[in-house]
Amino acid sequence: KTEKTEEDDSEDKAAQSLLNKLIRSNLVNTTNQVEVLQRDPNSPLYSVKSFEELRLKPPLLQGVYAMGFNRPSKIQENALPMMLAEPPQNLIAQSQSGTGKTAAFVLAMLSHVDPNNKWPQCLCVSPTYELALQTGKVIEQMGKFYPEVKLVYAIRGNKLERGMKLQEQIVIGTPGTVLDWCQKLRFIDPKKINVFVLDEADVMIATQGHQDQSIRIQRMLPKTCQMLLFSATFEESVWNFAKRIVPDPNIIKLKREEETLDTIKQYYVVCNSKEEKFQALCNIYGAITIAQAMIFCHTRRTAGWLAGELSKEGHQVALLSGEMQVEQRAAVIERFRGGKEKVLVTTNVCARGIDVEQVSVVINFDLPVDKDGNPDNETYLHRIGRTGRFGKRGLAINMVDSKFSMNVLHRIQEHFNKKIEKLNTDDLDEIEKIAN
Amino acid sequence: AAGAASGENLFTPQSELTPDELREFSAKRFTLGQIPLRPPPAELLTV
Amino acid sequence: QGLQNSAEESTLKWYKELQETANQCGQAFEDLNNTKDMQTKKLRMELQKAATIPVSQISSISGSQLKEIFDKIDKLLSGRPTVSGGKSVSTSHHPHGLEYVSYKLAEKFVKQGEEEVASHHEAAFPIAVVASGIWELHPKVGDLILAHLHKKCPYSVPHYPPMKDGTSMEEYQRILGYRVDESGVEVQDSFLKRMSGMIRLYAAIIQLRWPHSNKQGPDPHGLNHGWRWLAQMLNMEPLADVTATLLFDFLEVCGNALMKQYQGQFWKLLLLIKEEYFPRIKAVTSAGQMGSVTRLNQFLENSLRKKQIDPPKGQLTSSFWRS
Ligand SMILES: Nc1ncnc2c1ncn2[C@@H]1O[C@H](COP(=O)(O)OP(=O)(O)O)[C@@H](O)[C@H]1O
Repeated sequence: KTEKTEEDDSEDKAAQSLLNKLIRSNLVNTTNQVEVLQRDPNSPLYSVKSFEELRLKPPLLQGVYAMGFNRPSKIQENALPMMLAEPPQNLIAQSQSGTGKTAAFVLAMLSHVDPNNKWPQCLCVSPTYELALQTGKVIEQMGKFYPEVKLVYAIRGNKLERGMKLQEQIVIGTPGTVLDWCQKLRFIDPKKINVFVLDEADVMIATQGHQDQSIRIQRMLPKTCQMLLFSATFEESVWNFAKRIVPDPNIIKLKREEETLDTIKQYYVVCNSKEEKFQALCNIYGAITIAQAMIFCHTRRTAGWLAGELSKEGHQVALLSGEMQVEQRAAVIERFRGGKEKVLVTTNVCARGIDVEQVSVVINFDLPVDKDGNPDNETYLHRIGRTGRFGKRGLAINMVDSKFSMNVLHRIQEHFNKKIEKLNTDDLDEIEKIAN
Repeated sequence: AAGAASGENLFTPQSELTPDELREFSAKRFTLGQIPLRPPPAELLTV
Repeated sequence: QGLQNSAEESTLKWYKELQETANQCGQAFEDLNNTKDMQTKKLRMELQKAATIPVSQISSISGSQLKEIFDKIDKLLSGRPTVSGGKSVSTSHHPHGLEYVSYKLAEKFVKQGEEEVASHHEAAFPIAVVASGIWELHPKVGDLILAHLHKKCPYSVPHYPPMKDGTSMEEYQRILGYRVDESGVEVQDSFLKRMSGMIRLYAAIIQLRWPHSNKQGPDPHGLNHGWRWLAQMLNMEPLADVTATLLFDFLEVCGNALMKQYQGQFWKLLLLIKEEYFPRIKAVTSAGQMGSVTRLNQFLENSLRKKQIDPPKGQLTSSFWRS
């Protein structure tokens, strides 16, 4: 086994972050309290419970509601008033992905733009092209009723004529290209930027050079420019970086909620072979309504076989496998999200880091084990654990087909001290009961 | 049984409308709280 | 005279009759449901699988795939043997097999709306078109679909069940459509989302017909019910959050079809909503509930200004049916 290089690791991080964005259709529920540290502890702390209170420009309020939002998310309650305050305040915000950070800073950028000025006023840097594109989509959606505001992508491959000046008010891109556009090519006048956003700081610093480039961009901006930095995690290194990018910050932190098995119903099914496992799976499908399911297998071979069997039965199956490029994986996940396929079969390795919060049922066709065959508790928890007491109720079903896997199951059960109930998949009533 | 509430026609024959229903369909506007549950007659689609 | 607090007598009668139909159907197969005999239990399981698995496989992937699914379900309801999981099964194997399968199938269509359409609006169309086709050939299933839908989402009648003496709060919330379990009542957003899913499914059913059907008769549950639903909604006092959300869902999905069908009379409805009913909705709305109200308002203004309602996103096209 070859050691993973640092580069692989940063690619992994960016890929995971992207896949998580793609698979998500909803806000992640959290019950943890937001922690707010104000730059000036004596100024009053504003928090809003409705978008109405923010006095947004009408087309922006419409845009927000048209996206299906009803009220600010936990982190938005505090972050939005700070970001929209006059004079604008700097902010460092950390919360797990899916809690509404992107929507928040997009709203801030759109609010601070003067559409009459035909030059770049907001600059947003993202770690990769694909992530920048995702943010761009949010800008377009939220700005749907504000067509005067235009957006341009500063990414490699987007070649502009020398000497031209950008007219778009919002520029979003990767650090290298943004730096070039500000410095070498002068498409952007950095002195006229009044909002600077650095997204996914933790992913950013994992990539060689990005940290440096980001800091060099920041140095060109005026003192009055509002600096905003977002991150899903907050290690020491991210923190140090954040302080160099954002002077005099307000800080908002939303602790990642502990994943627990409390809201999950866990079951196991005893089978004698993979064919029997497949049969059990079919029975489960017949008895309960599964909008979307994710099935984890240990090897690529099993995953491929299972996907084939399910297709034969008429199921629409998507297969996510390890040898796929990020773009291919993203395409598979987008089809799955769009409901083209309803079952996603994947190997343990390949789905590492994907949030399955949206998926109603998780099936461990094989239990997760490490390379020595010991139970991989962490993976198990991440795969089926949920956050937030009011989050969706989840269902997890484990397939057991040998003494060995039974032993793994027992050890997982012991580790979490949570009973995994036996399920007889030949008994319809039993299966139906677990879904209610 | 399913059709009991409104019959199974896309339009209600004008002859079957009650005077109140006919009044509502013939008027420029509906009266709040008085919209007929049966669909309009085919002859009254333009008002 | 003004708005009413409950649905008209005829609506409630219809609703009750359908519930009665469903109860009777449920009673008919009670013996099959409660059987202790292993052989019969097995049969029941196979029947249920044969009814529900095809519904869970409905997707917008291709027209030919939908046709296959439709044929499978039709075969089952016609008492012919179908193969599922390598095993052959037929409703003729049990005297109440047909009732059982019809009931489970109807329940499954509604659940699919609740679960899937809720989080993915466009899924309403392929599910609805299959349901509509099955309804046409097997009207009993149609009645059962309505009965299940009404039970899980009383707003689909529409009906606002009053609180009766002796009903516990918990029970009443359940009757209103909320999920209630040990941890309490579900949060409002999650409740609204499920209700939206079911209303969107209903709005899709009433405007769609199975394209391969060779019957010349009327639509088994067509746009006249769209009229009825809207009219009944608008004759009642609005409920905060719920009314705005569901009116928007309904109009977004079948507003275009209703406009084409009822023309001037439909525009009269929209005008009434905009000028008289919408202010009533606003009056019961608090600041934290402006989302649904704004979406509805946006829809109304847009439609009235353009004198046009866009066809819904995700509608199945003629090229879909060639795929
Ligand atoms: N206030 C809100 N209400 C409802 N949904 C929201 C809200 N804010 C964001 N969302 C949705 O939740 C999901 C996650 O939001 P996003 O801003 O991408 O989170 P993050 O940037 O923290 O990963 C997106 O699908 C987004 O549209």
